[in-house]
Amino acid sequence: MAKPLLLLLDVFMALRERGFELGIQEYLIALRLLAENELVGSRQDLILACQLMWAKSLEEQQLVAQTLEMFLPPRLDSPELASWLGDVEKEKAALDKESDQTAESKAPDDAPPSKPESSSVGLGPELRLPFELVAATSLEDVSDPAISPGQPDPQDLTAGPPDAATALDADTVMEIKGHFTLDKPPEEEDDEDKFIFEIELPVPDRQIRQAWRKLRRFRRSGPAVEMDVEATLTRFSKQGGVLNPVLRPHLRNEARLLVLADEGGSMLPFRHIIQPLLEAIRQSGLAEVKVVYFHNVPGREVFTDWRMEEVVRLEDLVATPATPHGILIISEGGAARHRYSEERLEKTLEILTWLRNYTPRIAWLNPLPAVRWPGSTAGVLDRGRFVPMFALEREGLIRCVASLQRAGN
Amino acid sequence: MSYIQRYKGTGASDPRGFPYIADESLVKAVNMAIMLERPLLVKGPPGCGKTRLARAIADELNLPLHEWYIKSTSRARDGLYSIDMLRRLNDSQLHQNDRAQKLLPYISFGPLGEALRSKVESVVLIDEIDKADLDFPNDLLRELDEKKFTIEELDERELTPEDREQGFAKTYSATKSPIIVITSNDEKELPDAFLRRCLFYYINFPALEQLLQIVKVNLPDINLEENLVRAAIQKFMQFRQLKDLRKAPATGEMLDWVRVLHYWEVDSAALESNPKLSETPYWQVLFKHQRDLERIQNL
Repeated sequence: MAKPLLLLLDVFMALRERGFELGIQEYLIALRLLAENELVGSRQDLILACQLMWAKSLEEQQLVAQTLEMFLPPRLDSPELASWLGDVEKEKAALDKESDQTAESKAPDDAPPSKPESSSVGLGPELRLPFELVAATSLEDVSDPAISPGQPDPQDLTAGPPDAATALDADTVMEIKGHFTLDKPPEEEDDEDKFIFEIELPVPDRQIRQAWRKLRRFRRSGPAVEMDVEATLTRFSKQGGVLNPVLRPHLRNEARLLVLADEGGSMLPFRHIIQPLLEAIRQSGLAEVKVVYFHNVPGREVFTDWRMEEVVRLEDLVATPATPHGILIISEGGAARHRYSEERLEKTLEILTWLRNYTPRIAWLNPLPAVRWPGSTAGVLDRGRFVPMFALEREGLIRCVASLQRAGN
Repeated sequence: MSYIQRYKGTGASDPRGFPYIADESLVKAVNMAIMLERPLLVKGPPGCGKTRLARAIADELNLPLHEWYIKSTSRARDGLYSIDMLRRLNDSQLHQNDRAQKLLPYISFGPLGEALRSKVESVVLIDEIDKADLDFPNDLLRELDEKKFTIEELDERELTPEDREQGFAKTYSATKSPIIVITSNDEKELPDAFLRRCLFYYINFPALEQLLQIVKVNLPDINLEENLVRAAIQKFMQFRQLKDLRKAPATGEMLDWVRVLHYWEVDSAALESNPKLSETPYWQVLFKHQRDLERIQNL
């Protein structure tokens, strides 16, 4: 069994691979916390501690809990951990006798931590898995109820003889390899969906929002509440004194974004990432985000809903005074099926030229990585520099926003 | 090395204490934050007690509480200190007043600044940090990390020995690390660099038993009938579970409703008998949006 120090390292690296931004500091803090026996005395505490330090949102908490479950063996045995956690429970000792996976033998009462050979550290009754499960499956197929803070203890699996619990009962959550989890708020007690599905976006939600916050068009609007220092000093020098400072309104970001999203056909497989992407953009603090849909090529008429039932004229959306500060086109542009179509290219160029009459700030976001573009309509658009095209990944998003921010300046 | 858990979450049971119910993992989280000397960032649905946590900790550990309620106009520096430049400008125009010669009289300290200056341990509440600008949390990184801050505008040479004796300096460093609780409504995204320095905890909306406790603890002077409260809470949970509500009722509304039910002497049977939500007595107290009211009327 892995020694506990390395155990946390495995978890730590696994979380980093899944996109968590954790550094050495975070790892060292975790170790420091674990050294405090009082605070981390059970597996639940261990999970809570890791969630506290490494997770920064509810979704991340669930991910941390899952990853820990994957790596923590049902029973940890190591004298180091015993001395770290300092907890050996009496009931564990008795039950450990029954299910004998490893070669250890235990005395009926507590094995004191100082005994190096036969100390098997129990980490709380809620961890015990049915004996058959442990025997039959490898560590990665381990099933355990999801643990998140604020929930009552997962059911005590040690209740009853081990073999009675072979059948996974309705309350057990299964972990599907490939890390699919469905987000569900912890207070809901839903008996049907015990599968947690999570969409793993190419770019994490938070980074999308942060990237789009950089699309800025600052203007002063609203009540005059902030002191304009320069104007006040000017008044001072003219009047020889200041009775009233000069006030001005705050800067507000009034950026307006128009998104033209390709829908249907080749874009179908991407819907599950485009929708969260749009949602994240909406939440990134821009003054206005309008989303309209088209199929294959945007025309003079587009649709306000993804089912493409309600039509609206594109001209109404881009004409002054409501001209958006940026137009974002989201489409695979033929790259998904590696198709080049001259007709599609021509129509796309036509609409781009027409849009440029209203604003030069246009960018194209392609859900596929850049390696897939050559040989398709999208590839030609990119190579010919007809429109700035970016792939849907972290750097692509940042450059896309920068391009919109800069364009036409 | 053993570490005593300082915060026990017993505010509720202590009659002199601040009424606050904290579940076990929250207690643990608070203690871990205290031990690691890192700020605790709490998020959760409205009405789950995020803001009151700091008060509860301060009350139980008998420490002073410094409250900083963030507005959209807040700047990081104001939480540490602010300089009344306008007053100084005015004073300087009065030739007989040479008070304006020194910067020191015009400096006042904000909640975080006070906490870092103070010689005793304290609790700091930074409430609704997501209301401020995106750069706001980043401006506090050094202060949160090293627990010290510097008054940039102050020229050290103007400090006389008397000033120093009174505790003024250019750089203040906390002798005892304050316990910092930061709340966020999750309206805006917080920068990663800031999040890395905090411990994150999500407070869930209380469950039935906890809600019961909350009612008892918040309405102690009313003689409440237990059946009535239970029935009311169950109805309340049913209301909360409706989808697509503009604003789901939270603990504040629940307490108001229980008060109303009590004063108008509603029978608990009246609450339990009616399966139709729109016939629940005085249910309108729970909602704050016309759309929600209409929706329930039509149920």
